[in-house]
Amino acid sequence: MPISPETLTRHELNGLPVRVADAANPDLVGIAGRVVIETMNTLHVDTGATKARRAFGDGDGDEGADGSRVRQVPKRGTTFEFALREASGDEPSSARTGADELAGDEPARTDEAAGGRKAPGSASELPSDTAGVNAGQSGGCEGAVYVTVDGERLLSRPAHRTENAGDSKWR
Amino acid sequence: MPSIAEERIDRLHALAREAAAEREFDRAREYVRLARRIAERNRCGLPREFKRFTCDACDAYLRPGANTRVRLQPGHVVIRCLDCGETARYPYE
Repeated sequence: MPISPETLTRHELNGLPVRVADAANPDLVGIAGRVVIETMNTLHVDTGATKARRAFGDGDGDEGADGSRVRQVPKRGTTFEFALREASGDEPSSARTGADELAGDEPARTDEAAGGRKAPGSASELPSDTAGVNAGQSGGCEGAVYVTVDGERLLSRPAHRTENAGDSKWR
Repeated sequence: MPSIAEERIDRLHALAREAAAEREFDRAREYVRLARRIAERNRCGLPREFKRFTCDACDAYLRPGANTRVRLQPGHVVIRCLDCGETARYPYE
């Protein structure tokens, strides 16, 4: 199951370009870079990764210059914006928005999950809050899909997140 | 179709290799540990290449020439992790 806006909260976050869209701590807003370490409650963002920052239309700015390149951002109370490479063919256009389209392919995903080798119980996956498809922010990032995720959805041990992505209906 | 767990392991393998190439051996070690934990929770095993290029004892990602010694003996390959001294062997034809 390739990484997509629906599977992002269950998938590997390390290595993805990320930007802090909103945070309880205003100092953290705007941090852009690459996720290098994930812990249960935080993400470590390497702001020196210029390639990842360019995905958000950020040139070589001030962040990479100072000594501390890896910033630790709490997941709770933060809204992250991940940039996904649009390599898979199931999302031909980046103009894919709205809950109806997401809801439309939910049944298909559920069937796959049932027939797959050992899909973690993903039948109840809510459509992840995919808002930002803001293509054409700057050059060189046309093939990216921007996914906005509430950090609360990521609160889990990294190895457990494939199984429980904070979308249980029992809470 | 690979499951999410298998894809996460593949991604972590690539990340560990990349981190080791940049001499970030401790970061590579974290990726290896996470991949191993995912494999054990989802009971999906690890790719053979992953097993051959990681140290069973200290979870280091092994780069021959950088933190690994590779020697051939009759019938098997000997890989020694230079971080912890663990030796692993596997057969060859």
